[in-house]
Amino acid sequence: MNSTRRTLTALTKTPQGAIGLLLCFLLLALTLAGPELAPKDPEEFHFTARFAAPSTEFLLGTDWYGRDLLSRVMAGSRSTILLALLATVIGTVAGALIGIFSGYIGGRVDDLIMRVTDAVMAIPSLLFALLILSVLGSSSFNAVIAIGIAFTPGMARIARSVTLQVRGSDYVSAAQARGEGTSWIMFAEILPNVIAPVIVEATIRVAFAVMTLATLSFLGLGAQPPSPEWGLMIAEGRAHMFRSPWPILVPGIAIALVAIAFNLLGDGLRDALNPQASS
Amino acid sequence: MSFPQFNRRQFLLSGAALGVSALGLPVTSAIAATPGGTLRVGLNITPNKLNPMLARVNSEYMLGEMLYSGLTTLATDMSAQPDLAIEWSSNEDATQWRFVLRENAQFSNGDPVTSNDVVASFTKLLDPETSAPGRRNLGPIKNVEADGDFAVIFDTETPFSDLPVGLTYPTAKILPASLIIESFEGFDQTPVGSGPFRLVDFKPDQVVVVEKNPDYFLPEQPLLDRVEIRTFPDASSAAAAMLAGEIDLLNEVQPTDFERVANGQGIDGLVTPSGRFLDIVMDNSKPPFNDKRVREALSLSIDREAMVELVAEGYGTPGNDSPVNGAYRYYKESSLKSFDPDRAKALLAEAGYPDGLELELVASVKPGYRSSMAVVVREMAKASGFDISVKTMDHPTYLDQVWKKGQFYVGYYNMQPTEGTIFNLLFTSDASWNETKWNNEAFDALVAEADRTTDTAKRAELYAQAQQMMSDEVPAIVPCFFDLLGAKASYVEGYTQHPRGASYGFHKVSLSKSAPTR
Repeated sequence: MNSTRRTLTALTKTPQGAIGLLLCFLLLALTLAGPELAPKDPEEFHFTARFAAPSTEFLLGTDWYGRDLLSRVMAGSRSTILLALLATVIGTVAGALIGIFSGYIGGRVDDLIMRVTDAVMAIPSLLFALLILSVLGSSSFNAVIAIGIAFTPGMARIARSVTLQVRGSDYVSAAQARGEGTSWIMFAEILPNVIAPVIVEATIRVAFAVMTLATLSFLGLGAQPPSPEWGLMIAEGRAHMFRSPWPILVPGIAIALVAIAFNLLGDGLRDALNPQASS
Repeated sequence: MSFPQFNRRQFLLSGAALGVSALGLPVTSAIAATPGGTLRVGLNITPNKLNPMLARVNSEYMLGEMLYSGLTTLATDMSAQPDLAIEWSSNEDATQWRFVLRENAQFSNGDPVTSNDVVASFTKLLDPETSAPGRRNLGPIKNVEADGDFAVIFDTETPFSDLPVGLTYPTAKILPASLIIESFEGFDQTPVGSGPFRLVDFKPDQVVVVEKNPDYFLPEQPLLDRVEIRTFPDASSAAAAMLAGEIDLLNEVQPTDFERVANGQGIDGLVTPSGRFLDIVMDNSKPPFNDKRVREALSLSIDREAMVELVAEGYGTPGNDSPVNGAYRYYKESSLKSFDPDRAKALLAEAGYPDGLELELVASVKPGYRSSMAVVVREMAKASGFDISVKTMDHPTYLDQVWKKGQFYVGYYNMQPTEGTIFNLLFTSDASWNETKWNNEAFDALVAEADRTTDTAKRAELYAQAQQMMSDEVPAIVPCFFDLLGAKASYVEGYTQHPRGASYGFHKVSLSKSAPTR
């Protein structure tokens, strides 16, 4: 608990950390309460106000069916941000486990696992996610799984490299001398000491996950219309781009904001969790 | 929720008409037309097959029409007009037809076009081994034989009074008999036809160039020296090329781009009402759609005027659940179905769904307005208690898994030349694509009788009954028809958009004196 408080204090001392933390907190609030707070029904058509510019009635304007863009973005925040977080969690947990295991066991097993992750990392993550989706079929949930799997190798690499530094430490040797089992050493001795860089990486990955999810929906492989998922909103708005920029601008800015927020938070966390910086 | 009445389309049309009359353009521009010049046409689906009998897409039909001639051609009012045949007649019960050919037509290799070539071409076209795409659309042809050098006799299996119209099908072109026997594959590389133009260069995905046929059988036509057909990767880049003046004519513009393109400097937008439609297909043989009250409830849940505005961007006409509209010859006008969610709700309750009905509507992503319609239907039908979720899928998956098999999906069909063709394609029990499985014997009998009736007034009556029956029974919901949208440079004259969308008439097109010289 103490260490958590120390980290948070350190985080608020750097400007990027403070801004990142604030933005992420706001986004999280939006995610939890957004759909309920939305001023209008995000799916309701307003025929007399198609392509409306921002006004007091529609704060961020309306789209081609006259749907309120503010309400849509708010309602869509849940699917967009929560799904991105979920995808990151899947990728992080799987990657960390594989990385720690591979790094700790070492030898031929390590070689085998790392060559496989090398092979997977040779494929760009978006392409890899597309591949997985075309096998699983397109839906929001499959997109989350696809992104999670696509993130796993990178995460495994990071976890493994830190594990390699830790594995020769005295406390690991001591645990081995005591005759502790492999899983106990992995989770009780190594994991707490490799968690910091993994968390930093995960935070930055959230931003990538938001963008990849949006890209997949944009390509028609994620959310289904009329879902207010941000990437899908941009894809649909493209056809109407020359008549009104708002249907593209609003979700576009929202995606940019989320990416910036998590990147700033990641930067701040890196500084806060870095032992050299805190000493 | 209230849907105000929209009539931007009528406004635009009347505006266009005013513009024309204000400029005082001569109506008889064909006489004053200046010959010569090069017309540049834009496409976004490239022609791949040069053999006109094997053409499948509009761009290939376009080339087929320029390089070859058929017996008859389709006028914009969907009647058959002379092409190689100058007149035709049938016996009393429309089972035998005689077509008289013109005597001044010749192929590009110098041979005259005779009845021999016509017989050989139709024999090849009807041979299942040729697998020509339009084989079934020509009519129930049993036998074709020559009657002297310049007349042909067609026998049909059953009485068929639409044969001259059936023969306008874009793949029904006349090829030289000698070459059909010697090397049919040769037509993939070297066209030999009697059309208004001759091929100069053919690069799929890039450009196709044709030049004037000096021996064309119509006097003083074609007017143009040359036509260049350029392929663009997608609709928006073709629209951009039109705006930049890189092309003179574009015959497919997306509804969302149309206003921008039509407002471009020196560009005339072309709007042609057509029978092209999107429909909500329901499987009439399974619950819940085997209950007419459910289909009727959904039909009452749709505001058709608003649908035209939202899905076709105003460039369309509302439909009454029959696939026939004003662009067809025997359209029977009827008052538009009302938008009545309360009555729909009551009907749904009567049918046993007092708490509403959950459904999944499938829409392919091509063309883009399929999913727009699905989303709009979902929103409109909410008020009557339908809870429709939309599922989009890519086009190959849709064709493979849903089309003709699914319970509830959005269909998309081109206009057909006759009422009989569209009914027999989709809605009769033995239709080629009987996707609704409506299987109504009374309807089948009506369509079959209309097909063999030669008396125009009686046919009109029969087809009117068929349309009314569809509107009452709602085997599928046809909420709106789409106009064909195109654009041309103001200096292009004599071009009329054909509502069928597969006929172009480039031999009548010319460039005015104000056209830039290149």
